[in-house]
Amino acid sequence: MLPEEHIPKFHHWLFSFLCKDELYNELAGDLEETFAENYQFLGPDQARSIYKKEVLKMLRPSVIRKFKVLPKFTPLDMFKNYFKISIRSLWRDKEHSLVSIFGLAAGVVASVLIFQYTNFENSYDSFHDESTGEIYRIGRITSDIATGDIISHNVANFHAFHPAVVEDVPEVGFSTHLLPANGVFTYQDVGHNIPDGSFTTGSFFDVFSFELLQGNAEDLNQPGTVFLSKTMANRIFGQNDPMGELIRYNDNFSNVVIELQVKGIFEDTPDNSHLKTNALMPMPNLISFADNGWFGSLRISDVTWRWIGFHTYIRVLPETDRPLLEEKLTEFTRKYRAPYDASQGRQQIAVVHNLSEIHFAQGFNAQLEPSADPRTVNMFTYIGILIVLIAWINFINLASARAVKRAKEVGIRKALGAFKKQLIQQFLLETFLVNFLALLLASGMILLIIPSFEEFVGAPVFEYFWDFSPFWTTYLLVFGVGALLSGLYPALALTRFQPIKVLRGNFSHSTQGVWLRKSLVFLQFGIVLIMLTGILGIRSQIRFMMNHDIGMNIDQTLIINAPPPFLRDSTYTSKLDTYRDDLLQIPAISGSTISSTVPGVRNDFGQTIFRTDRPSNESIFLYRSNIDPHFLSFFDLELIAGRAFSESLKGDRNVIYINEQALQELGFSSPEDAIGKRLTYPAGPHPQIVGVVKNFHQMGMNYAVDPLAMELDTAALGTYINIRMQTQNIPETLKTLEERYNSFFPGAPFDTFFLDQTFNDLYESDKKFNSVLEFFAIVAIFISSLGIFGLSSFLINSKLKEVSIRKVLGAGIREILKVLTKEYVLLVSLATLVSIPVAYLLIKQWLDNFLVSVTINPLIYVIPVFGLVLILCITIGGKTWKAVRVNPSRTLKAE
Amino acid sequence: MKGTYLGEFQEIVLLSVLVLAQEAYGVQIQKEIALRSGRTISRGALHSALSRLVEKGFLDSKFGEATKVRGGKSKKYYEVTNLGKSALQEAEATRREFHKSILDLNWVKFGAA
Repeated sequence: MLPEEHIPKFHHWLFSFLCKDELYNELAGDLEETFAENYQFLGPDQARSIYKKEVLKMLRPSVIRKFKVLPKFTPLDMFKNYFKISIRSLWRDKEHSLVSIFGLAAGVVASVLIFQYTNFENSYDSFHDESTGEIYRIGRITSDIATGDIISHNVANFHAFHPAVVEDVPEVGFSTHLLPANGVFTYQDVGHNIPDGSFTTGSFFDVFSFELLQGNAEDLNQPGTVFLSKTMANRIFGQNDPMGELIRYNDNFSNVVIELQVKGIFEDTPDNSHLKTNALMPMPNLISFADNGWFGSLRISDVTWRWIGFHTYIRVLPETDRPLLEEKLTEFTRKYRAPYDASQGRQQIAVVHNLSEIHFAQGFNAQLEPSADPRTVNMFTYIGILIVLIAWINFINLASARAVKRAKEVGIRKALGAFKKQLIQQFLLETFLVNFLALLLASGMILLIIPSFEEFVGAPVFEYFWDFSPFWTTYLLVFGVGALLSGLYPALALTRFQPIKVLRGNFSHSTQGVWLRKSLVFLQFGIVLIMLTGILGIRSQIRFMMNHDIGMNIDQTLIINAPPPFLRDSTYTSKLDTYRDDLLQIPAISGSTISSTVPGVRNDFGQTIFRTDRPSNESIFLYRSNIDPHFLSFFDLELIAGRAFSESLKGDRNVIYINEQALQELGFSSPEDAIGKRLTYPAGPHPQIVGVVKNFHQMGMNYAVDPLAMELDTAALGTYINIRMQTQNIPETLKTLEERYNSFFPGAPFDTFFLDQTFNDLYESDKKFNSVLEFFAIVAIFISSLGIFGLSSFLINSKLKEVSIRKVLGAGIREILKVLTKEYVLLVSLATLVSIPVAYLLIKQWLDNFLVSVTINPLIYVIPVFGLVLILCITIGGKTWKAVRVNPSRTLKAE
Repeated sequence: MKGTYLGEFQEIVLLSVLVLAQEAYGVQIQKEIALRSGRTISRGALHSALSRLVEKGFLDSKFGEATKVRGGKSKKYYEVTNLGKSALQEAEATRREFHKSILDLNWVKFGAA
């Protein structure tokens, strides 16, 4: 076989195809000659590989022929031209371009942040697979049978619901229930806090789509097993295999202590899940404790239809009719609850919440996670849309105002035979370019802002950045629709110019689109006014709540955290008392008391209790706190019945105070009626009510008052030492306090905080809402100011001639100012007229969310108008002043 | 015309064209360079150097005969122009000048001792 037949065919062809004709003979010939020689001396294989390499190395620009892929004149050439012109015109008018790009970018940043937040909120629990049947939480509404008044909305249900509901209601495919638990896991003498544990059943994994990584869900029905989340398993066991290991669980709020074997690992519950848990423990373990004394002599079977607090979830069969399901569940509840409800005069209605609704279920108590207010989320969506609108409006205004400058270009293009379609294409391309630049700028800013934004909203809303389709949808939608919408109008306006008029030179400034421009500016003004008013309204409500009488005196109160439990011994209680008495010797201190809770710190400790005299009544969830005899007088609590605690009662677990709320929920007819009655605590005493205290807002004005019992149990006491002190010489007093504390409790950390500070933190979420609104209002105002700035410079320039002529004819400064600002004055007045009622309604609606709300001072509707006028003065003032002072001979000479 | 600067590789190419005299075409030049300097170069790299030298006016080229081993494609012969020769001499002279100064320096340094 001849050498040339061995030449690699593809490379040979490739080279002949790509090589310039004039070089082909020389280069291809040389390559082939070399190949032939190599073939002879090195053998075919090596020769071929050398040839291939040589060909590839030969493919360089100087060798490759120039291909004429496209015909000489194509639309692409035109696009190149458009592109070039666009860049040039952007560059020529730098101020204008910057204003446009910054305005758009600010709008994109603000809206993407907002939409990402609302998308996150709306994505709650959407990761569960509901294709095999929807998942519902069964809640219930308890109402008075006679009056029909609703007594309570509960998300948690009776113990007996699961598993009976599967058998009794045919639509239900699977059911599970869970009881949140809070305790400590101990493994090899190291304790780990479990704030989000749950007692549940094996069917948990049938109902939910949480992923079980290891283990068998059935095991969760066996006592003595535990399933851990991946993160929790890592925290406890590190790199070791957790499966089969033994750990001990101590419950924080009950006598539950159990040995558990790890038999399963599940994937961490996501941030957008209302049910967050990191340890699942078997319900039978809990039941065996409850069965032994939690309800006195009563057995679980006796209380199973009265024991509440079980979050019950079902997965229904496909195509289940929801109203019918609720009806059947109500029937199911009533069937078993009949004896209890009859004696109490109550009735139960079952309500189900679909998973997607749980995060927004308002007004139900004992939710696993505080629900989000759908109105707040919606409001943010509206704000996001408004900001995008403002940014687009700006862009349209600026672009159409600038259009006049481009009139000559359009005229020449038209005269040279450009089609209207081509012109529209050109200007759309230009808008896309500006939008694209804005998008780039915005992306950079967003990436910078993400960490602080996530910290601010308190949720990792950008965690799902890349695989979060709503994000990309919004992002692209904002960009695409924005570019098209904001480009189309200026493009159409521009192409409407008559070339003959423009080119003859007597083109007067277009009056087309003035109406549109004015209404857009009006809209911007209105939005800015409403936002400013809203901010003032929210501020006054927050200030109102912070100054509201909460029914207790928290002034000048310093709290010392008492020594941690492991530093306490048998003498601790008496020591604490001595320390308290000793403190009173310090002249700057006027009072002190010891308690287990303080205002502003949420009291989670509570239990399901009965009235001892009416064991058949429904239990209520009663919060418990421990106080010393000075507590009531220290905080100025008002006693409406009974007697004050006295020293002699100290340590007596058999006497308690309750608040009005507890009085009402327990069904006593009057405060006096309650005095002397006893309550049945699970696994505890049957304390006697010795006093009723007027409701006080332990958690501020945002929370309803919980039913509360206060006990004189000094053994469990001593979490906080409350001190009332004079505000002079605080550092000195603190120093004295610390010295004495250290001498009483050596080794214990001296840890203090001021009560009013903690208390004000309760309004954090409202303050946050306000600052979010403030931030976005500033963005909106910023964008609007940019737009008005850009617009005004154009408008004033177009009026220069008029101003000059007026000046020549003898007009004074006042008349000229009037000419220049007439339009703005009109627009501001109109915007004020429209925005006040809208703002009024919005604020009213927002205030309805609160338990107490402020009476709005009408001034808050007036101040924003002044604010707007001020902003206007700043943005257009300079240019206007320049116009006023213009020398007529200059402007008039130019023509 | 670009500058008359002569790169090191270009110089070697020029020299080899001179050495090969009447036989200077692509393959031969490639071989000559491999033989004398011990470095293998691709035909592509050689092409770049050659075309640049032609551009600068240091080389002339003309088509020669076609052979069977080349698949019937004609060779292209290269010849160094007078300009090329003088550029070579200039480069050589520059280099010699440098070497001389180095020698002088060394001479001063060591000879004085």
